[in-house]
Amino acid sequence: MSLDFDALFEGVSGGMTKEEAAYALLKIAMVIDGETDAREVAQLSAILKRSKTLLGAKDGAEQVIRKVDERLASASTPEALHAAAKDACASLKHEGEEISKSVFTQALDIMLADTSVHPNEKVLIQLLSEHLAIPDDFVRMAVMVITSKNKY
Amino acid sequence: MPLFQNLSADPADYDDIFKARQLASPAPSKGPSLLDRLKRLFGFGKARRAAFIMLLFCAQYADRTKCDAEDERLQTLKARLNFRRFSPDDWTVFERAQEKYQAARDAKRRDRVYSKLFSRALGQFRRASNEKEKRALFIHALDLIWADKMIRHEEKEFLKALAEGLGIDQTDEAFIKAAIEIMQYKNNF
Repeated sequence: MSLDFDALFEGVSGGMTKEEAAYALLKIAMVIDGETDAREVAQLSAILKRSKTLLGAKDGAEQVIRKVDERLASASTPEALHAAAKDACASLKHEGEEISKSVFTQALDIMLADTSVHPNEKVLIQLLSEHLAIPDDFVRMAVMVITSKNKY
Repeated sequence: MPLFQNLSADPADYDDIFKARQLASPAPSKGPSLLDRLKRLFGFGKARRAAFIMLLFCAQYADRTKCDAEDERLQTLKARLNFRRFSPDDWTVFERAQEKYQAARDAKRRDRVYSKLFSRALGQFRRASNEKEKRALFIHALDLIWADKMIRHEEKEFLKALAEGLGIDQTDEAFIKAAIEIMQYKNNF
């Protein structure tokens, strides 16, 4: 019987693949406000359909989605979701600045899709910018552009 | 030049005037009824929404082709806009424009149809919208065009014409640069 390395490293952060980490952050961005807004769901579905990062996953995007959804199913509180987000950030950060900025921008677009910012979303935006090491200027610029877009 | 050409069609721009009139004339006004005023406001909104949709059509057909990725992005945006601001009826202008464009016999005629639709919609939207709406339209057009992860020459030309036509190329240079950078990251994912 082979060892279950996922179980052995349980509780150690940074163990997700690039695709798992990216999807986890987007899914957390969708559910963190505790509501299932149709616009946020549509935004995430559209990303999943076209994302070259997720579609390029070694085991396929469906496997990534299943694995992350299973893991996030047990995270029922904002605190647990924030902890999962920290883990995903730790996994994604070393993949480089480009993908970190891309995922940050996409997550922001999902959170602002319903044109309001929930307190939990504010915490998540702060957490993502810190743990993905996104420069402050970029954060400000992204918030300004995405907010302007979603006004209409 | 027609006298009213440069007047904004945005009701918000006339809030001060309405307030001033209310203060100056405490007696019941003999002007248009509340219902008429609401109808007028709704009418302005409808024209603005139509121009917005027409410009999305122009963004989608900027490279004269219809691609699946852009179409999907448009459907997502359509669903979101219909959630509150737009109604499904508003989108008939898109279908009519598409029919008209596709009915043109050759590329030259299609170009002519496209140019006519674009300049008319641009003029309407420029007159009827405020700065926030112009910015939002520019980003939506950019996002729609970038859905297939590339910006073709004709699409670049369209964005340039859009920014110039909306008058945001001079005043909002930093905003346009920021929008391009953020949309690039968003669409590279």
